[in-house]
Amino acid sequence: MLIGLIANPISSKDIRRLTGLARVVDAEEKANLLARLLVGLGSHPEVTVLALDDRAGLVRRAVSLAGDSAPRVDFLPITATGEESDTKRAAAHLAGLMADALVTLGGDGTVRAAVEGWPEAPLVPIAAGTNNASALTLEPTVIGLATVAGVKSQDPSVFVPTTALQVDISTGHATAVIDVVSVRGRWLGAGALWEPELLMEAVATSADPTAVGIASVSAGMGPLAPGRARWIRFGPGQTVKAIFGPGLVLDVAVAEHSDLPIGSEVTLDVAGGVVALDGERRIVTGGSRVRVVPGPRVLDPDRALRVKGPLPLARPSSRK
Amino acid sequence: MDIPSEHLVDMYETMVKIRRYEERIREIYFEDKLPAFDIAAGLIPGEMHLSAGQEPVAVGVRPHLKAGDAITATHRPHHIAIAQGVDLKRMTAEIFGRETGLGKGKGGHMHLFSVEPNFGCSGIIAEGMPVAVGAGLAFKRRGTDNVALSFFGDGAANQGAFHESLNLAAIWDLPVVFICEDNAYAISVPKTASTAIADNSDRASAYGIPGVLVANNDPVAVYEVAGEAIARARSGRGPSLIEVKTDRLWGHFEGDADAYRSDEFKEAMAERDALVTFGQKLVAEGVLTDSDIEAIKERMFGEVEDAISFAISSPYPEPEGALVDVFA
Amino acid sequence: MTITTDRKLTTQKAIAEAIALEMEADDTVLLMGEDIGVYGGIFGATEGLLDRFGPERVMDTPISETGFIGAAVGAAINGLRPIAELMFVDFFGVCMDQIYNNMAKIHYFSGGNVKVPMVLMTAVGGGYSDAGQHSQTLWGTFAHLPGMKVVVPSNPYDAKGLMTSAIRDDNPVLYMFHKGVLGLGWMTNNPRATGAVPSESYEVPIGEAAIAREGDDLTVVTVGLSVHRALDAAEMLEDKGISAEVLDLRSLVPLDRDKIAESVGKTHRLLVVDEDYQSFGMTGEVIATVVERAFDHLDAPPMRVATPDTPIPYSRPLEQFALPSAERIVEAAQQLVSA
Repeated sequence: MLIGLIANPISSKDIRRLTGLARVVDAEEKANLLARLLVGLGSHPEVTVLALDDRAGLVRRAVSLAGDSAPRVDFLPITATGEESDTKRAAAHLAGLMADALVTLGGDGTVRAAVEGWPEAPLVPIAAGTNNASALTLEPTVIGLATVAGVKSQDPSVFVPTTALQVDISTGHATAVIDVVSVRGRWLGAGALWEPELLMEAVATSADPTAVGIASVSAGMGPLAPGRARWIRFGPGQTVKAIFGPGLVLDVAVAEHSDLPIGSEVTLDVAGGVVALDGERRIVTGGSRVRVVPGPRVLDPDRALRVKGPLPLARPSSRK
Repeated sequence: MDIPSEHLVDMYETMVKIRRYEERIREIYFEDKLPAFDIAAGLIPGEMHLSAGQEPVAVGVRPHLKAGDAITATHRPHHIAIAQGVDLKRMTAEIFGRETGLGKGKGGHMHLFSVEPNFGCSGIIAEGMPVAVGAGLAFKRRGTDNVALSFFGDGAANQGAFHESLNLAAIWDLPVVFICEDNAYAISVPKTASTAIADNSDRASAYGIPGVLVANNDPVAVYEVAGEAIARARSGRGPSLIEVKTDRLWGHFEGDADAYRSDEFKEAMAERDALVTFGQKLVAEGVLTDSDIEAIKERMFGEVEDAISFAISSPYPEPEGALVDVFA
Repeated sequence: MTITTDRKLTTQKAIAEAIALEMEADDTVLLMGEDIGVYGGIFGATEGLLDRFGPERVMDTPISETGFIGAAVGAAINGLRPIAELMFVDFFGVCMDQIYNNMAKIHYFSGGNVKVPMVLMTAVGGGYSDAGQHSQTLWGTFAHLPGMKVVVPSNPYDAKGLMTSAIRDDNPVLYMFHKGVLGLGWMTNNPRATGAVPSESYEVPIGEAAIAREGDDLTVVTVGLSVHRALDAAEMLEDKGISAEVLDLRSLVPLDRDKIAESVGKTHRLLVVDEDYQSFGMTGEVIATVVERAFDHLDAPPMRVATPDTPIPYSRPLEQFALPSAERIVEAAQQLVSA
């Protein structure tokens, strides 16, 4: 069983540490989370982990911390530069090897880059970023165990299909897994979005009321059927109280919205030329086309651990 | 945050000025020292530590400063002094050891002191950090809304004074922004061999203050983060730490063979030279045209030459001058 | 000099009073150090100041000498007049860079454009078995390094006046107060630690020595607690028919070389007494000064009584042997006058 692993050493260290009550996950904590993940993955003898050797040595540190409980860990033939492209390249490489699962450690940005490299990845995103709308926040040991159980079960329902967004930007296509938002102001700077008055339009893949960010705004418009995304135009109209970021509850004004099925397309007004993909700004030229497409298949740890099968550690299903 | 184009242009101009300055200082430094390098010879004797490549950290901070804000810097101070607006003629005269220098020739390149703007630097690693804390204390006690910025390198983050300074600024809740220029090397020792953790910005949490990583040498990223940190300090919300991964394009000192950094490492730095990429971006975004850039170069190069001419044509101090200014 | 008051204070209280008067008159004066607030200073030099001026002006610091002494430098550059206390001079090892490389040199490096008006006050001296890391005087080390004034009061009147001058001086001043001259109730009783002190503000000029006792047969040059020992010795010597002049330097930087030369010009014999280590220090400096300026006035080679070049020992007989005593001064003086 081949499990891919990509850990992002720079997630959760950005300007949002100054502007809000963002989660602070330092390198030691990340190595610790990874070590616990490895212990979970090491629960089955057949597991081999193929990891990106990140610039901060997080995975190496985790292997050392986990000791004998870790599975075998090899490293991808990729030299990490510390840029986001490392994640994308690593994911693409793992796609080529048809890894059984792709575990990421980081925030929404990390997940997005991984999905760009491997669009239909069987994804296990562990939360260690400022915004973790898409990632799992369970104990990593459990996530490791659930990953192994889920892959072993060969039950496709264990990896839940999601929706993603394909966006045209000046350098080609890009993928977003949470949302695409068009934003006033051209300069990328620290790359993080945190001011609601800059928003023009958005497409969100979720209306989960427990989520943080644009999804929280979207939740204010009611539930979203599976396989759909929601388009929003900001402006005077309905006021939604949304959890805009960690520790940040704001009133956001929504002028219009409509739901979009997979396969549909919408063009966002990008006056001034910046879209934010899962919270990170990218410069575009002209308008921006957004296509709703199938997204990654994300592990449901609960389901994975309840499935029937030969794995001694899996618990019997109580469902009929 | 949308950045006014005047700030972007000003930042770029300042980067051009800094780079040209460092290049000219480098040229002059070597002029009379070769062929057999004699460190004491020439128009600029002694050691020289140049900041080519580290411009973004200095200029990103610049638009947020106001009169009276205090900056303390290191043995590699030129980019910061220039960005803060220290008198370039008097600074250059000081580097050339002339009577008209900031310190009448008594300080030299590592000990540049200016009253307005409020700038000081030091040849001892991390020595300026407690001084910035003290400036912050003075501002707070005097009731001004000035801030103190403490610049230091990745090497300094392992010195006791770093830890003491962050703790003091935190416990006294002072308007200080600590800025780590991580160029990955302390002279020849890479950070991976000296520092137990990957990012010094993580050390902030040990002192209960926010720490932010600017992962690339981008003046606009520095501008945004520094803007937030400085505004925070100015409004009484306390100190913070910013770490910027920057590039020291040249050796630690002039004359350094720099053999401890690989050619690949140096080529990679040259390829991502922020002075080049920022200029390209400004042109691509229509903020500047190619002829604007030429005009900026001409003006900035001219300012640098004026400063150098002023220094060269200034008299040396009288030798007996060595005995005065010990005490006020 | 004559002091026209009957009011008597210990040196410790005189120091605290000086600081209080200056803090009252000038709200840029700020005090910081370990245990200087709530505790009033380990040696009481800042007693009562926290209650009077509050925690924003009287700051108990963490154990971060580099941090807070460097902060005092920064504050002094930026409009305040800080007084930082280094609890024991022996602790200078952890923060010396900020003292001698930073505080002392910024004025010079800036060509006189930047001033550092701060006082670094510190407790010095032994004789009560506090052992090798809590008993040193070390003024020779600091006086040797350019850029800081160094004052060492021996009595309550000078202690108050020198502190006032130190605070008002626009230069960094190292104010070294000997624990044995403070008049603390928990130290061996010392009658010379109490004296007349006017209640109003006054200055004792920095850089001026004072004749503590006039005499004709030899000049004893010294500072700090050794002034008391020299005065005791002078009384003993008087019974033996020897008239000793005791010159209390009061400042080591600037050093009042004129007065030293003048006194030796009168007595023709020099005995230097120093509680600091003998070699490479104050005694050598004073003797060199006299040899340079008043060689022809000397009737005998100069002598010195100092702490030997050994760490200061703990056990009482060992320590009492090492530190300059009145007896050693008497013996040396007798040798000197018969030479």
